[in-house]
Amino acid sequence: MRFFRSHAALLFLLPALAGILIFIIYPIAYSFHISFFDWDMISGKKTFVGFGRYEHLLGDPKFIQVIVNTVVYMFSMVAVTVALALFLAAWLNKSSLVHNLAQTAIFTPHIVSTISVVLLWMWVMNPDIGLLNYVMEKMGVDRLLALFGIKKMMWLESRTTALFSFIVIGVWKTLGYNTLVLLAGMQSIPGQIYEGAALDKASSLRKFYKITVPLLSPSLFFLLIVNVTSSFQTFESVNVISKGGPLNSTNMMVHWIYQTGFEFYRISDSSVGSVLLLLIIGLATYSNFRLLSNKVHYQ
Amino acid sequence: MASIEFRGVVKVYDKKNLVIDDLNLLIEDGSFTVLVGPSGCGKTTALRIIAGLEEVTKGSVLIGDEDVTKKEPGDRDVAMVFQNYAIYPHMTVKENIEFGLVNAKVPKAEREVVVAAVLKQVGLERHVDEKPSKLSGGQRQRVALARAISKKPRVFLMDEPLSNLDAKLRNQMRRELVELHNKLKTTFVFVTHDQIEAMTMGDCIVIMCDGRIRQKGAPQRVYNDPDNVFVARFIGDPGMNVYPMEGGGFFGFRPRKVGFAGSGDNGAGVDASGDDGPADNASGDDAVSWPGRVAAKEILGSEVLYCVKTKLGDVMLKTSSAGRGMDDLATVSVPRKNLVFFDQNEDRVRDENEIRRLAGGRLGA
Ligand SMILES: Nc1ncnc2c1ncn2[C@@H]1O[C@H](COP(=O)(O)OP(=O)(O)OP(=O)(O)O)[C@@H](O)[C@H]1O
Ligand SMILES: [Mg+2]
Repeated sequence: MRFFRSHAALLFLLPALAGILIFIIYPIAYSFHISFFDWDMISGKKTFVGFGRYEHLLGDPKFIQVIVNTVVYMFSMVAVTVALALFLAAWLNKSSLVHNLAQTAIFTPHIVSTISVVLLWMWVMNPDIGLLNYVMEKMGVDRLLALFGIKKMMWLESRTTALFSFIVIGVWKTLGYNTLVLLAGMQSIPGQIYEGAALDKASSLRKFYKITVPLLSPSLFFLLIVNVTSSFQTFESVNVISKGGPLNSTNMMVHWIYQTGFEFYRISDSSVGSVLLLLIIGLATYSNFRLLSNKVHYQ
Repeated sequence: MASIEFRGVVKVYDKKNLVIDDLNLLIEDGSFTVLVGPSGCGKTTALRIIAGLEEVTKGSVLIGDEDVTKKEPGDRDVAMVFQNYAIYPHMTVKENIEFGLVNAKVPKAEREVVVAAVLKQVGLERHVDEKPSKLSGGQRQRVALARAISKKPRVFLMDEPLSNLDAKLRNQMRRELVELHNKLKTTFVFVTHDQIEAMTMGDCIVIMCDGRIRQKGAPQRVYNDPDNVFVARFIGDPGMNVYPMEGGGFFGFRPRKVGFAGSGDNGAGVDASGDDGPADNASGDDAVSWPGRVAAKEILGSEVLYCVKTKLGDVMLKTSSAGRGMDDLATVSVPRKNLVFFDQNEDRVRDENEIRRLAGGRLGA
């Protein structure tokens, strides 16, 4: 009976545990395994090379660029979306028709599929028939650019602006979700705290930095972790828009892993990439917790 | 230190919900004024208007001699203790108190002195660096109090600050607040719906109902000499027994001013400490009595509260003897001098002739 009681819990957990084991733990372990071999998919020959593929890839400037692209994209995404969402939420934290409409408008991109968003932006950013260049032309911004020797913004098609354009699209897509999370957080802060602060002669700015932000820290921390992880895993937009181009300037880790493994059949390199990505995300999450979790105020 | 004055203040919520109707009230400098009234009568609203957290629809508010109607809360030199304290949950006790001082640009050295002093005053020295979530309800209440004291305001506003505390702590805090008031000599405005709290703490009580003042005065005064039926029924535990008279108007008497007629009770039930002296249980010319039956009996410790059903209705009777049991037949008797009278509009009648005219044999005795 005792035995049954203490092991009953395990029994109930079994289905979930089995799923995790088969679909998460095993593939991770197997990726580690493959990454230490040189595996020729055509002949099927597997030779153990230890850290050989790691050394090879980390010495390859193209691969390093993929890592740099991913990290730049992640940092920009997190910084811009979280900061922007914070100010938007502060502005939207009122109830009126305008605010409710704005809330809906900002949130809509989140429920639209990434593919649709990407296709929409590919048109918007099209240099010849796109909305963006058309608007810039109408507003006379193109003449301003001409002063700097830029004839026409190429957006997704130029090496210098492609990654930036990706960030714009990514921000547009995630902003709504982030804003909504922060808005929910703000609405759970009791109004009397602000009234107390008003009697304490606190300016609006001080109320924002000394009360809103700290009391919102659990939501901010949550968004940080979620956004860091999801930015590292960007795939669809790269795959649909650019396949990593032009000149590798928008290639990011997950897309590179997919390309290398399933298009070029270099399954060992692909596994090395997976392992490195796992380590990078793990490191990022760990440092977030280490650096910030004691600054987060839980009620 | 400053007086507070409401001049013709009207407050309407959402363009249709009239909460305060033409309020004229002077709260004297250095007084401990208690706003008391049933739930929803506009006490909190009145307090928030003083603090500037709520705009008036009409009229003006003065603190000292200064019209503050248009001033921001932070510029009114008032401190408020909220019902749920509203201390900053992410700041330590010290930071909570310091926040307002930093905003007021008090230099650091002086801040340290003030914080140490107020923490000592409320007995929280050992909790300086703790977060509010680690403190008990009573301690949080003290943090809110310390935060208010630290600002050395002209006016202290408190909105039912004791309602979240248990009975024992509430008693203790009541005493401490009264002591604090004696020490600081600042104007205190205290809101409660508990008339016992009002009676024990205030030196001036303002009784409100439906956004209007029904009476203002010292606790003893409003208890002994109510201006209208509402105040008579609201003040006292339980309130005054009030009954309609046959030809219009009302009469009433306090539960302590009525006794059981005849029997060995010997009128012990009638308030011996009351200012009007004990009631005589004789049913002579100077007393009125009604036969009835004991319907409920509540032992309150040293006293007993009876509810006697008579043809007047339920008569509440407070006495120190527990001689009667449930369902006993009993006659209640009140000396005429303990009766108070009200006219049709429920307002008090004090004129002797008028009383004679009203009362003449129409008490249903
Ligand atoms: N922000 C508001 N918007 C609309 N109506 C309000 C608002 N605040 C209060 N009221 C209304 O004003 C009336 C008085 O409220 P108030 O809070 O002053 O009552 P109170 O006397 O403090 O009662 P309690 O003892 O229950 O705290 C209530 O009928 C309430 O519905
Ligand atoms: Mg209230």
